[in-house]
Formats: sequence, structure tokens, C-alpha cells
Amino acid sequence: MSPFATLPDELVLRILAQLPSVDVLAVSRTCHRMRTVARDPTLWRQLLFRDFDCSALAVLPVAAAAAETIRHHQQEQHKQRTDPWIQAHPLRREAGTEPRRPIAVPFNLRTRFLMPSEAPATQQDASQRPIATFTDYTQCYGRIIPVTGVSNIKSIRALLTSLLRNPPEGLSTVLFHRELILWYEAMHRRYTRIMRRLQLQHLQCESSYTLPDDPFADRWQLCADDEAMRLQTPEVEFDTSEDDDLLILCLGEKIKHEDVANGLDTKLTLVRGPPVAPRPAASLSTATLRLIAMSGSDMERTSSARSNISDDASGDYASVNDADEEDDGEYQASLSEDEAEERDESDDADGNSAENGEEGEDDPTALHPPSPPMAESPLPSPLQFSAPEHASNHSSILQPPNAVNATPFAPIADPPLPVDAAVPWRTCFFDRQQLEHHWALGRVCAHFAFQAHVKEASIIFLELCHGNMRILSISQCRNLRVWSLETMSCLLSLDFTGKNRFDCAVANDTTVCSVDFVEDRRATVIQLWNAETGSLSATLAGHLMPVAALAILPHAHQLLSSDDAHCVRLWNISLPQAAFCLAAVHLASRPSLLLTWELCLCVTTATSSDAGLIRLLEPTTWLGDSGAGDTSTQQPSPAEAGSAPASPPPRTASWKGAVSVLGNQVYAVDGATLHCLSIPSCALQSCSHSSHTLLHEHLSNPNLIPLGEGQHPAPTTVHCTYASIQQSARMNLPVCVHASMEAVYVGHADGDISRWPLNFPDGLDDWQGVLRGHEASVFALDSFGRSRLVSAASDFAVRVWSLTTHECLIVTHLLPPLERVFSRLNMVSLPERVFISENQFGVALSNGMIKVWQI
Amino acid sequence: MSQIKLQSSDGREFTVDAKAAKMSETIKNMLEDLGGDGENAIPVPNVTGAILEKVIQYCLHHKDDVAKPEEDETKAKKQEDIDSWDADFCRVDQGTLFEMILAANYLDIKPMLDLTCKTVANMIRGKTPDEIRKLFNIKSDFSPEEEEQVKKENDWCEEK
Repeated sequence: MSPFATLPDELVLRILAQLPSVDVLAVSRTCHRMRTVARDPTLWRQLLFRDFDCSALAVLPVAAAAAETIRHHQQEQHKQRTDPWIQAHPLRREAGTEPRRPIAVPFNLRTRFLMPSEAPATQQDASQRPIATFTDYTQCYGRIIPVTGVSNIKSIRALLTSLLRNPPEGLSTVLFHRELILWYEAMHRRYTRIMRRLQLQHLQCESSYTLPDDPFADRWQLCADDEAMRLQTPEVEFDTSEDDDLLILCLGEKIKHEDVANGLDTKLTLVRGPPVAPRPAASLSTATLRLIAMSGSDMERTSSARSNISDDASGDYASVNDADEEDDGEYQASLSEDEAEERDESDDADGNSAENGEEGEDDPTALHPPSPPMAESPLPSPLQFSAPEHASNHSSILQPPNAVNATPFAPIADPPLPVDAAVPWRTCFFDRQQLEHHWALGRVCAHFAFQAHVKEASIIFLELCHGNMRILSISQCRNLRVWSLETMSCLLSLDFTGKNRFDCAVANDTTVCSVDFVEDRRATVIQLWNAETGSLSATLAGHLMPVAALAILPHAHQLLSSDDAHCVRLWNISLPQAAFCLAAVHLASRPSLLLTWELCLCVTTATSSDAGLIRLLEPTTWLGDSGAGDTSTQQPSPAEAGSAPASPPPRTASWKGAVSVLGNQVYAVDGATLHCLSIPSCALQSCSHSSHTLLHEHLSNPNLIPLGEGQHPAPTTVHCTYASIQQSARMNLPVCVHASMEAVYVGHADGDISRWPLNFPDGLDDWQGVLRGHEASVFALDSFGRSRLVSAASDFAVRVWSLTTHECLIVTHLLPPLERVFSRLNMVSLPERVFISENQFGVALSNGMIKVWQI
Repeated sequence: MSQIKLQSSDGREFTVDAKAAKMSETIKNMLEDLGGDGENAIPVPNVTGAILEKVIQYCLHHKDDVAKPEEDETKAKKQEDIDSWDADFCRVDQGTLFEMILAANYLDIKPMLDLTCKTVANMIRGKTPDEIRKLFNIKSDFSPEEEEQVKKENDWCEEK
């Protein structure tokens, strides 16, 4: 007997995990046992992550669950990369100085809701006084019922329908977060019906739900069947009669910072009724619906209601816990909750109160078996609505009647996860391998070119959406189109009414913001359109001069606009009908380009002005409590534009050239100098070829950083050879910049693309390498993860580069040679925007064409 | 307590530096649980004396290593990073090597487990199935048809 064969599977797998896939296959061909072992999905998962770049979300050949894992992995990696950077920043290291909180952690309802709060420690003897005062909802004595898989409006509808079908008994009150309802409205315009049905049938929330006139007066709406329930802001008291359940329904991503901040400040007090709170099963995936149900005393009744639901679910049970090993923030938060819980335990006979996923996982009575149900039902329902496990037979699932859009639970924690069994990792691996191979050979299997928009209009907005499966384009001729990249068909075409051309437009899921071009000049008003119907939602007036640029803050539902009068405005567009100006700032020079990114910071460049400035405007500062909010007005008035400059002076750096943003850094190239601005800490690093030094320079903004004396960190020397960029310069002006996961790429006027690797946490590394091939100015860059880069230049070539070998994988010429000359002279059909995804890349031309190549 | 005693399955006793012994999570836990007093030998029932000797040799050599930060699971682990001492250490016959893997696994010494697994992996690398069978003395239990089928499967996988 061979000693190799005596090893347990686990160790064989460990050995195989060290091997290239070819060798693993060779081993699998030796004998039956090896063949079985080598098919282990966890092994292939490991190999997939090891061999391929999974940093960008890869959807296509990978099953949905795998995609979910990869997405999580990607988030983790991003965190890993940026955390040290943030931590290592001089500002953070200063002892005794409270580091400024990151301005905006990408908003996450979960972390906010699970924030630790001071638990009332003096509750032991109370009988008639408040059982608990809580500032977040996990501490309310109620069930928290996470629902996963709610990623689209269908799922929400399914959820609501299932609620209607099987209303948890004893549930008399529904508390909807306004945002959910309104979002729902925006998506489907059917919320009223749903609400009415809820009212009529089971939930008895009669007449309490009305839309407020001022959408910002009340953050929360309460639907109650008796007057005992009151919800007010900021001090709220619940006086639950004994049998009452309270259901709070809110949608994760759609709630904005301020709302939740205010919601958290809202003190909810549960006045009466013994607490009944089974453990909530941890947290949710990104787009999730969270139900918080606070049950009354009637455990029996509630249980029976639960089991009714279970019947409906008929064994298609899946535990939420599995999916929820994520977000350390939450764990930390939950720790302190545990403490709070212990303190409360004495008057809390059920040992309940808010708990967290950790406990749920450790709980031997947890309902989910070690091998998750996933394995049994390979396509779990999209919507798992499960009551959290509790020792006292609380088990339920609300099965949505229509299973649409199967999204299995995300296997999220580190490998090996039992959930993995459901994911065909091996197939994923080979699909991916094949795809990579095709890329490496430049094997284009399909090429599509379609006239996306009319010939005379250029495409002013192009974005991949829907998991890189669709592209959204907006052209100058007032029309928005969504194209499926699978079928290359137009899924949606919206024409916005009006006779003028668009000058610029931006879009997010629900809203398109545009500026008209009226009589040879741009309009001063911004139009907001419903991205689903194409109807005009609102017109934002406030700018006195033509609006020059627009940008949307991705997660904040805010719009940034600038005009020729040097005025920058920030609008809240979460409710297009009630959009208003949050803040206005007047700059010294004319902004020409606005950039935003996740961390809610906006850059405006004024490259056209003589000053050559880049200004950083931070919405959160405008809105902060430091008095900076003075400039914000509820309604924009013409008078405002003439008012004094805004109180927080925008941070300014003398940059000229191209700018790009990545995560929480801004990169700007100015001739031979590359600047990097780290946002959370507000420091500027600039690398200049002359000094070969990396300067840390605090940008003065008294509102942001209370900088004492002597706190300026000394300039740090880094090994930069930035002179080289000038050597190869030959009038080598940077034209565009793209920041990818690992490097900053700068496209130059002579066709070179230079690469500047990022080295967390030390900042930018040596300038390294040039991707050479283009013969004329590089106009657009985009990258896929850390593996591929696509560039388009005015020589009418689109090139795909491998970022691992830095070879040019694919060159495609948009036009035959003769036409190239002609077109270049006439500046027609120039490539304007590019995109690249896992298995395709494309380019948008200035004549309304979109060309897509599939690998 | 700087020295502790370990007893192998065949009764041999070894006196080891505590720090070295604690590279093994298993022993570390035992020490914590039992509060080992340095007098009584800690039994290591699954490991023979010869192998335990190798393990101790490894631990002594590596006891002062800086704990490497948890390696990113997904990062390609480089195969060349076996240093010369480790390579020499693993230059043993196959039986011993696999025993060492088992021991490292049982004693939960992660770096040693990684090293030994890597060594085996390096032996496999680049070989054909036949060569692997020969290397490990594996007997093919495939019928010719099965063999053909497995080959086909893999061909599909390896398709370029």
C-alpha cells in the first residue's frame, strides 16, 4: 500500500492545493480515490482564487453563489488594501489625537443598526418603567428577521405578498421606513396598493400611513392600529399593548446617511410588555431587507403563527446564519450588545434581546444542520424569510410564492464553507481557465457593433450595470438606452421629452440627471428624470449660470453640479420630486469636471482655468454639525447664488492635468508629478521628479482637521524615479487617468500608457513601465480587476493589455487605414468611452456607435 | 518551565525546549489544560519516536521564527520558498515524509505541515499520471474504459 494513499483526504487536498491545476488533474487520473478527492469543490475554489484574478466581480461563467463569494472576497481585499493605508497615515498615528472618523464608511445599514450603544444597566427592578431604551434596533426586544436575497423589486414584492398570505399572527403594527416605501414607489409605483392591502387584510394599520408633505420632517412613519403606538421624533415612546408585534421593515442600501443617523438618534422606548426576542440571525448580504419584529408577550401565539409560515415553506428551509459570517464591524458591535444583554438578563426570562450571528452559530440548538440545506436544494428560493432560531421552537420561513431570480445564500466566510458544496467550483475553475486562455490568445469569439444612438449624437454617459451584464448609455439626443450584453438587444429605450440636446447627463438606478443645451448655451436648470418611465421628475433651479458638469454620489443619492459662475451645488435627489439643494459653494475658478466616488467626496477640476486647481469638496462637511451646514438651504433661491462664499473653504491643491479616483484616494497627474490625495485623512502626497520626495502636506481645512502646531509630519523620502516619466515625455501630456485596484494608469498624448503601481500602505511605488502601442492620444482607459486594461486612442485602435505580463493582448482597429486618416482629420467617430468586463470589452464612439467584443 | 518532556508512542522520551514544543498547537493546548509541570512526560500517542525526533528537530530550528502574518488564502503560494535547511530536512524517504505530514497534522504545526505538503507537491509537479503512480506506488484501479473516460473529462478541462 502506498503511503500516499494512506493519507486522509484532508491532507491529500492540502497537497493538491499546492499544485497547478494540470498536476491536480494528473493526480486525479491515477486512481479512483484520487479522482474523487480531486473533485472536491473546496479545492477548486481555492485554486480559483489562487490562480485567477477574482478581484473584480466575475459573474459570467461563475454560478451565482460563487459570484457572491467572489464579491465578498473582493470587498475583503479592498478593505485589506485600504485599511493599512488609512491606519498608517501620520494623522492617525498621532498619539492622543482622536483620529477623525472616516467621513463616510460606504453606507451600511447593518453596521449602523448594530452599533453598540450604552445599554441601560439599571433595569433590574423595573416593572412599569421602560424595559429598555434603545438607540438601535437590535436592542429592542424583538425578533429581527433578516431576509436575504432581496435584491430587486420582485423580491420585495414577493416578500410583501408572502407577508400578506401568511401574516405573522399578533402582528398589528408595521413600521416602514420611508425610504423603502418611496423607493418602492419609484420602482413600481404600486406601493399604495400594497400598503392598502396590508392595511385591509391583516395588519390593520389603518389610515396612519400618509406621505408627509415635507419629506424630511418625519423620518419614520408609523402605521398603528391603536393610539397606544406612537412614534415621534426625536423622542419616541412605544406603548405596546401586550399582544402587539411591531414590524419594522426597511431596505438596507436605500437609506441614506442622514436618515439613519437621525433614526439612530431617535430614541425608542418600549414601555410595556415583557420582552420576547429570539435571536436575530446575524446580518444580511448587501441588498437585504431587514425586518425587525418586536413581539409582545404572547409567545405561544407568535410561535403558532411562525409554524404556519413554516408549513408554507414546506421544508425549503435555509438558515440565514450560514450566509452571515461577515462584516467584522458587526461582530465588534455585537460583542458589546452581548454585554448589554447579560445585564438585562435578569428581567429577561427568555434570555432574549438582540443577539447576533455568532451566538446563533454556536448555538447547538440552532436549527440548521452542519451541512446546510443548500446542498439539498441546489436552487434555494430567492427570498429566505426565516425567523431566527430560538431555543423555544421558533422556526419558520416565509416562502415567497413566486421564486424569481434565484440567489442562493452567499457562502461568505473563509474556506471551507459547507455552503460551498452547492457551488460547482470545479466548473467555475475550468470556465475561468478557458476564458483566461482566450484572453491570452486574444481570441475574440464575437464582435458586435450597433448604432446605439443616432449618428449625430455622441454618447455622453456609458456605464456597465446589472453585474456587468448590461450597459446603460445616454446620448446627447435625449435618450437613454439599456443594452443587454448577452443578447445585444436593447432592453430599454427612453426618450426624454424636450427639443434640446443634452449637454451632459449622469444616471443612477432610479434617476437620470441632465442638462439641456439651449440656444448655443447650456441650461441653468438640471432636469431629473425617472429612469424607468422617462418622465420628468423635477427641475432643479438654482444655478444662475449655465451648468457645466454633473456628478452623482453613488451611494448617497446626491447630485453635484457646477456652473460657469464658479458655483458648485450639492443636491439631495433621493426623492426626485422633493429634491433640494443641500449646499452651495463658490469657487475661485471655474470648475470643469466633477468626480465623485464612494466616499462621498467630490473633486472638481478647473483645468480650463488659469489657476489649474483641483478642489475637493466634501459633502459631509457641508452637512456636518460643525456649522458648515450653514450654507445649505431647503430651497434654492436665486438670492443664494449671490451670497458669501461657503464657510468651509474647499481644500485646494495646485494640480493640473488629469484626475482619477480610487477608493479613498485621488490621483492626479500634473506633468511629471503624480499626486495622491488620501481622503479620510485629508493629506496630500505628491511625487515630483525634481525633489524625489514624497511630501505629506496637510491641506488646510480648519473645519475638518484641528491641526495643532508641530503636527505636520516630516516629508518622507521615497524611492521615486519620476524623472523617467519626463524622459519619455516628448510633450507627453497626460490625457486620461484610470486608477485600478493595484496601479494608476495614465494615458498620454503620444499614445503611451504609463503605470504607477500602488503600494499600500506606503503609497505610490516607483513609476514602472510603459504600455506602448498606441500611436495617438489615449482617450479612455478602463480596467478589469487586476488582470486586464483596455484603452482607446485617437488612432482608432482599441487595445487590451494584460496587467500581469503587460503585453498587448488584443488590438482592434475601429476603422480601415484610409478612413482613419479622414476621421482623425475631421474628428469624427472618435472613441470616447471604453469598458471592460470579465469576458468582453467595448467602446463607445462619438457617432453614437457602441462596439462590443466578446471573448 | 523552560523544558518539557514528550513521550512518543513507542515510549521514547524527549526533553524539549518549551518554546519549541509550543509550536505545536496540540501540545500547547495540552500544556494549558494539564498545566504540565515538566516532571511528567506529555504523551504523544500518534507519533513514533523517529518521527517525533524529526518534529522536534524542526521545532527547534524554527522556534524563533517570527510568526508570519496569516497568509492570504488566495495568494499564489510560491513553491520556491523552501529554504535550504527545510529542503534538507525533508530529504527523507517517502514513508517518513508522509508520517511527518501526519504528525504535523496531528500536532497541529502549521508551518511544518505546509512545508511537508509543499515537498510532496513538488514531487508531483509536472509528472504524468503514470509517473505519479510509479512515484507513489499507486495501483490504478481504473478499467480501461474508465481510464478513457477520465482522460476525456480532463481533456475537456484542459482544452485550450
